[in-house]
Amino acid sequence: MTAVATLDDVTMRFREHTALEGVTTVIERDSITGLLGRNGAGKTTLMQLLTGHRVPSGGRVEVFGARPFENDDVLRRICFIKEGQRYPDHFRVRDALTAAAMVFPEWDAGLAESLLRDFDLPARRPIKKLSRGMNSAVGIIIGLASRAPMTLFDEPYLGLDAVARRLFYDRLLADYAEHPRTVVLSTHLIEEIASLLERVLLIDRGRVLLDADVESLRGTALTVTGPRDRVTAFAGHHELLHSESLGGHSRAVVRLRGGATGADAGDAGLSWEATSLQQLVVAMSLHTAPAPTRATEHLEEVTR
Amino acid sequence: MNRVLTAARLQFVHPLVVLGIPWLVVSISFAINWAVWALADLRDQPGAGFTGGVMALYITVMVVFVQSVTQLLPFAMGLSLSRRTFFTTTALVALVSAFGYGLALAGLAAIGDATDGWGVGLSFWAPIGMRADGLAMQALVSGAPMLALIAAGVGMGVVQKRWGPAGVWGLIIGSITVVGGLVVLVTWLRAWNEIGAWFTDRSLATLAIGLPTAVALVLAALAWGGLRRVVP
Repeated sequence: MTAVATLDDVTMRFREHTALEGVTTVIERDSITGLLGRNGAGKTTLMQLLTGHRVPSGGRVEVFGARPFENDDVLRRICFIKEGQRYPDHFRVRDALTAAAMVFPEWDAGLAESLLRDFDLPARRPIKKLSRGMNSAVGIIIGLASRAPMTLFDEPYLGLDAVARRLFYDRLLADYAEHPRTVVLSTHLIEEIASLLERVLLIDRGRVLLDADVESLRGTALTVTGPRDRVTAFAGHHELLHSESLGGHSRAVVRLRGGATGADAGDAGLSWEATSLQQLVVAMSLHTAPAPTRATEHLEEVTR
Repeated sequence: MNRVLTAARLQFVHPLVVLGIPWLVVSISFAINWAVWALADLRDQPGAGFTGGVMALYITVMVVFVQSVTQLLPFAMGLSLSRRTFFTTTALVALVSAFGYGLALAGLAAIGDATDGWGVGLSFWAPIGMRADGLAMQALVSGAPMLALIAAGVGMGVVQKRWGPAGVWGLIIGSITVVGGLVVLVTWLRAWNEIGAWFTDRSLATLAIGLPTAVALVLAALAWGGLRRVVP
């Protein structure tokens, strides 16, 4: 695998807060990466850095071997579809597609036409007059038909109904199989896209929590249940991400260490199941959330 | 360069709005002026023969360029065009537009001259003070101020995109303060006569071509400074 994009110790500071801190990661060529994280985790900022919309406060961002900021040579190979993309007021659907066709060197007009039919979009209607979901569909069509070597989708599904979302995933996968390229997809609908993803990049409050390929995650993230002491003992040997107890009974999400497998949990007298990507992401994000006691202290101070 | 031309085509994806609206507005202004001239017989009244109605064209074109930044820039950047490409394109389109409008205005002014002011003694397209000899010279005299207003429009668009509503208010309040301060300063120095004399001493070419072009260049440089870190 070769890298299409690298981030090396990247920090992005705004006046009041730090959006990204010490992020080091690699986006692999011809892969679908899920960029996951809670609201405000820094997903959009990361994408803005990759597409040259922002310059990092610290560290180095390289895409196709060069810095993307104001670099036309890099930018022509990138398509960035973001939630809430603005189109000029007087543009019709057809105008936006015409414009995209002029700009993206590998634009596939046939694909754009067939997607237009799939999503049932009125080509002559002003984009301003489209519903939220149809507006998102315009972005999705541009993103797929651009065939850009690196395509980024930042929560592209807003307002799309379940059928249209399914359509997007199917068409993305089908076109990706025929024309492999690098896709980065940020989303909150983890369950829906889990089967699409080859890699996962989870960020939380500006830091990378998880940077792994989905295949390896499947074998190493477990949810174990059993008597509390046994769960605690087992979790002690691995990485405990989240646990909840009721009486003497515990349930914990762990990441296995040292090549352990589910069988080891069975040997420890616990019942286990593979943790889904969504459960894993929730567990890891909760794991790093500020301790609730601190929140209470804070509240007490306010009421005093 | 290829990308600059592509981006230039973006500005004319829907040409009816970009080119049609300014001409629609100025033709309404022309119609009103013509009607007033015809009904009130202004031809025969000395000193009543001036109209700045053509300003409608200048102002509308300026607004079109404000929108080319506030609306087209986010879309252009969404299509992975760099800010530099967008700015170069806009500058190119601005130059061609200003010259094109200048030429059109010169042509219309010539027609006005040949038809006794559209039959009613109306000097609309190149009002007194903006008259030059010859089509080419008139095109420059009419076109250069257009270039300055286009640059101002791009500048306003950049302020709005970069600093939002706070920036726009800052620009308005700042301009009023600076201009007002200058007026007070000149009055205090009792320098109005000197300033008036300075202007009357300059040639039409300096005032109507040189000065606006210089203003356009300064505004363009400022606009580029603001645009460099705009996030769409």
